[in-house]
Amino acid sequence: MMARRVDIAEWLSALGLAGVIAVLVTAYADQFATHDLPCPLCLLQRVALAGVAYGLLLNLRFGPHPQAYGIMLLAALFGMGVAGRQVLLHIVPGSGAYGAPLLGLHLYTWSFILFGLVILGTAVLLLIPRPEAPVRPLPQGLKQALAWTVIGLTALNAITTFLQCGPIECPDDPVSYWAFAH
Amino acid sequence: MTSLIFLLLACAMQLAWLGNRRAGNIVFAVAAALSAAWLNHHITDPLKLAF
Repeated sequence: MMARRVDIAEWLSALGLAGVIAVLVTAYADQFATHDLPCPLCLLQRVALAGVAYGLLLNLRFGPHPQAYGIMLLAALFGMGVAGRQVLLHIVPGSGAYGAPLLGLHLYTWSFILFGLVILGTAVLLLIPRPEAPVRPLPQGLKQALAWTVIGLTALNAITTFLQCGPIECPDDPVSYWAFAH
Repeated sequence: MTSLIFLLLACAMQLAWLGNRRAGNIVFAVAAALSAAWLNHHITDPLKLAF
C-alpha cells in the first residue's frame, strides 16, 4: 500500500480553522460595513464558533485527538442551540427578523446551517484513520498564521463586544456602542 | 459578560497554542460554563409557536 504523503485530518483541521476565520471576518464586515450590531444571541453564536476554533487549534498543535473532536462537537451543538433558538424567535410569519439577510437568509439561519456542517465535518474527521507511516507535516508558518489570526480575532471580539455592550449586558436590539454613548 | 467569555477563550487558545494544554482546557471549561449560564440568562422571551 502506498503511504499517504500528508495527514488528511491535519489538513482538514487547518481548512476548518481557515473557514472559522472567514466566518468571523464576514461577521465583522457585516457589523462595520452595514452598521448591523450583533444581538446577545448573535454574539453567543460567535462564542460557539470560537469554541469550535479552540478544538481545531488543539488538533493543529497536538495532533488529532478525541478530546479536540469532543470540544468541537459540544461547541457546535451549543451554537446550533443558540442559532435554532433565534430562528424559532422569528419563524412565525409577521414576527419580524433581526438584521439584514445575506444571500437570502439571515445570519442566524446561516449560522444554524454552519454548525450543522461543523458536526458533519467533525464526523468525517473522526472517520479518517491516523496515518501509519511518517507524513509530511503542515508548514509551520501556515499553522502559526492560522492560530494567531484566530486568537487575534477572538481577542478583538472581546474588545469590540466590550465597546458595544459594556461590562454587563447588551440590549436585545442594540443600536449604538455603549462606550461611545457615555 | 460576553466580552469576558471572548477574553477567556482567547486566553485558552493562547495557552494551548503555547503548549499548556491542561491550563487551556481549564480556562476553556470556565468559558463554556459561563456561556451556558449566559445563554440561560438570555432565553427568556416566550416563543410564539403553534403546533
